[in-house]
Amino acid sequence: MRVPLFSLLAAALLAAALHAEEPNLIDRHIFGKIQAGRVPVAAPASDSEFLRRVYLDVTGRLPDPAVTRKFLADSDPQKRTKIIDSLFPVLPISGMRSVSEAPFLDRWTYFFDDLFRNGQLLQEGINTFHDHIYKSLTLNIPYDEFVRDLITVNAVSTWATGSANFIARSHVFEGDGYQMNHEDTADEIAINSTKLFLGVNLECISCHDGANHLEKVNLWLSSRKRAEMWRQASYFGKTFIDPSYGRFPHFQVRDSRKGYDLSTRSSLRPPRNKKADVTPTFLLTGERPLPGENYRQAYARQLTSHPQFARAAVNLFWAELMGQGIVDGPFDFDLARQDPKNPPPAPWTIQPSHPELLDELAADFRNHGYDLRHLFKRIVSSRAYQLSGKAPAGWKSTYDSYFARRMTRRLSAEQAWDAVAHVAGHTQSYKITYADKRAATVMQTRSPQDVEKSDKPTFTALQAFGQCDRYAIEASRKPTMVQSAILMNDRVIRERVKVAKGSRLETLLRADPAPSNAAVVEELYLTALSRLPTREESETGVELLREYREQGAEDLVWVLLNRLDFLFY
Amino acid sequence: MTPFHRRHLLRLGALTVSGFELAQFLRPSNVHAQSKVTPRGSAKSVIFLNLQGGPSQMDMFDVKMGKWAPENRDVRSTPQGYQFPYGLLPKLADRLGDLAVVRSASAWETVHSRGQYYLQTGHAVSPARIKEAPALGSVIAYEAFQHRRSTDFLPPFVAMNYEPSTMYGPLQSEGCLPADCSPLILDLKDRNLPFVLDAKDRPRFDRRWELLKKMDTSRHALDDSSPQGMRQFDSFGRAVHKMMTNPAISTVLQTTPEERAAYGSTPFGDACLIARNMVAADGGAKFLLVTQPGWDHHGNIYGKLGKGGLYKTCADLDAAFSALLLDLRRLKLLDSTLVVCMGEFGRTPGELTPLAGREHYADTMFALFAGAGVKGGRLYGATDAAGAHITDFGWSAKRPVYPEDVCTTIYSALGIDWTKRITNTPSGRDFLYVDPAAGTKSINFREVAELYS
Repeated sequence: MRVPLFSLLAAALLAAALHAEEPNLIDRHIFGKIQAGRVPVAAPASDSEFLRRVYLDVTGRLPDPAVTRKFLADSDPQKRTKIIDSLFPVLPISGMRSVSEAPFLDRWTYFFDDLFRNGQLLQEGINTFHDHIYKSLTLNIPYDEFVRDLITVNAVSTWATGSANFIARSHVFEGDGYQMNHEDTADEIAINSTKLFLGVNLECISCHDGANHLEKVNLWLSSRKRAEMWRQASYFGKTFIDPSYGRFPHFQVRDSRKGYDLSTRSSLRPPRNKKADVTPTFLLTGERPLPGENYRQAYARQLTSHPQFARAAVNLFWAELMGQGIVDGPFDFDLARQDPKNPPPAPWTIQPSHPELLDELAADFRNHGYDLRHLFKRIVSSRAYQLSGKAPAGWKSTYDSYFARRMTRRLSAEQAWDAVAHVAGHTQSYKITYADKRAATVMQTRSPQDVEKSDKPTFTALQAFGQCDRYAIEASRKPTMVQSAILMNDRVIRERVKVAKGSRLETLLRADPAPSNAAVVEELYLTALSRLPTREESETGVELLREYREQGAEDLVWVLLNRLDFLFY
Repeated sequence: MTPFHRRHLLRLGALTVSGFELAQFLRPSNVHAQSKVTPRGSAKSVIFLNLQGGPSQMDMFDVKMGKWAPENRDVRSTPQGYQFPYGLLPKLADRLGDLAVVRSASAWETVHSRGQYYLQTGHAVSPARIKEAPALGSVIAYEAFQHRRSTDFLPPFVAMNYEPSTMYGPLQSEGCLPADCSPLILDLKDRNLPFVLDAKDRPRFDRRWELLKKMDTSRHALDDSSPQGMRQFDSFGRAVHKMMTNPAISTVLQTTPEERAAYGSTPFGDACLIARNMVAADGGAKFLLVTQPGWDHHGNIYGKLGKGGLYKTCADLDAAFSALLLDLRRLKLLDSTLVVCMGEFGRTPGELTPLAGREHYADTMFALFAGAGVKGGRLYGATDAAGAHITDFGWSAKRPVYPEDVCTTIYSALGIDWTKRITNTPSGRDFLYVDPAAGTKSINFREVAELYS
């Protein structure tokens, strides 16, 4: 009897997972399910594919051609582990200057800036919040501690205390635009914090009970009541968030109010029912603050000690690195559909694609002190992460949730335009608003306005590529016609591909001694695609450069920037 | 069943992925008609002028007198027999013979983002469905793909000059429909459109395109199992190339200073001009959403005789809208083009606020229609002396004209059965092209057929 090749491959990968020195819990579950489902599995990613992917995912950037060349030539079987380790900056040592170049910190600070919608309304708070996140990542502050601080911090000014901007960002003004609506603000903080840190979206039940609305959307939320959302918001009922010192809009954040008041008028939602118990109550457990305990302290404690906190976190970062969550939609958890031992009634199914993996990964995250770097390394070191994006024979789109191949994605707006600048050798310089600093990449900017004010054409391109504006527009990797037109014919691209002063092409072509055409072609492929050209590509490229060297090289750069596998990874 | 039909979505996309420029392809049978209606089918395309911010109805098309009113609005009676502010809209005064003016329109919302959502989708905001509900233009695009001709080179849904913001929200897009139903977004403030190739750049562009076709092995490797985004990007690339290299594209997107001057030489005027060109090119553009920002006049609405905000927005609208109507008539395109003009809501009638402005107001607003068989020169509905309440609905439904009725009218004009519904949405709830559930009421929305009789 013939055994299908794919099941042999899955079995081999599973065996490798089980017998590795430190059994990788991710691979055990991923390849176990692939094998059980007799799903074809992709081949392991080539060194080039892996390198480009792990650089873009972990640092947001493309590797330098020198790094790629060295990595590809390295025969050390541990070279992937070594390169992964090299992407994480060393922790600062007391008394030493910190590392100046840390793309990892830029990329993940940007991630949190987007996540927390660190945008223009905060004005100078943008920078203090950004710096707070950056420093927390630099010091590798445990994720639970980082979140507790966001929830509990007091501040006389968000322009001085970075972490207070998380709460301040949820402020809601009255219709007049001057007075703070405290209950609406408390609602917003409750909704944002449960969404981001528990993966549960209370937006629907902030206006009405779940019943008769959410039966086909979310089983758990369908039996939640609006009053439960109020009791969640009530943890912030004493919190006074106000533009302070008359200098709009820097905020103070203190617990000086009486508590959540149902009799106030909402400026966002239907009127509140005035007869309800609004004692702060944690929605997931029914716990209340201990006698005398500060409400926000109580919430932070209950939130971060609940298993769902770690589950939501690992799922969020898994989705960011793997292209899709174990629960698809990191903020769409249905808590009634998580436990395979306690399945929901038909026709509902268990929500996570790999419930045991989600639980074990969450436990691993907790057991390693909520260490984000450990989690990231855990994921990108797995064989599952390192599968090729090319579909094996017999692939069906229903196999996506098996993670049996890499989910190929378009580069994010920031990744894409930093990559274009990287290939072009274009020096980027964006003025940081409210600070006497400049950013050398889009990923280093504090907010989209930094690029808007310094470089309008790049800002327009970023918008077209789905940059998050931290208000109305969520980050998107969806292709559009305008993106395609920009890459083909926008003046930004027409300029970037030129042999201009300081460009990569100028440096390459005008080097002394002049490199061969084949060497130029090789360098450009390494830069744009993190791989060597094939023989045919090299010949075509050399042919292109033979007659009009500079024009040919420009055309080659244009082609590389317009290749699908430049824009997707 | 899982509540999120990702698989359906993927299949939906896979089927349509090469369809953008090929015109003939199958659509999945996930759209069902509810009842037998006969769409009018009098329009080949629709131009929707979105007056973002909420125009002041009692200064414009439902003009009211009061001691707050500046003299220089120059309110006089039109040949059609109604009062009109010649001082604010002098050029449009000459085009009233083309315009059907509905004074009995109402909005459901008084918050910009929610009102804009309503205007662009014809549906109420529902947080659970906000990601899957397609824009009106995307549904029209979805329908248009079934009749796409091989000569069509323009996308069916084009959105010009919409600036997403916290206040107004994002531009609504294709939701759960395939990505090729998304709008082509053009921002005419920046007139360097990447879709236009200079003649001098053309040979090099052609050479590069040929090189890309030859050298992009990642494109050669595409097949049904390739990631959807890559296939979609490839499809868009070919559509863009077809558009860029069509001989007509320069006449569509490139404008002369003289033409621009006739439309007011503003970004809004330029967008109206390009909308005209797209209609004239007969290249497959079906729904042209043109947004004019700046109507949110909370303060200093009149200013010192002609200096206030209203005068500026009215002047820009007056120049562009009148030129558009005139050109469509001159080019004999008005009979096959429906033009709709309205904002997301009206403004508070009566005395001005302490900031000398007007607040948001839902109960009364205007909606304007022209072309595609609409009888011009007519007036529908009436309001009380202040313009605060509708006193005569002016049509057979005996209720206000709501955004849903406007959508129904647009669907009908384009020959689209508005009783259809999309059944395989991610949330599992049907998406009705026109949803009778508006707020807490259920309303039988309908075409404003009186416009044509």
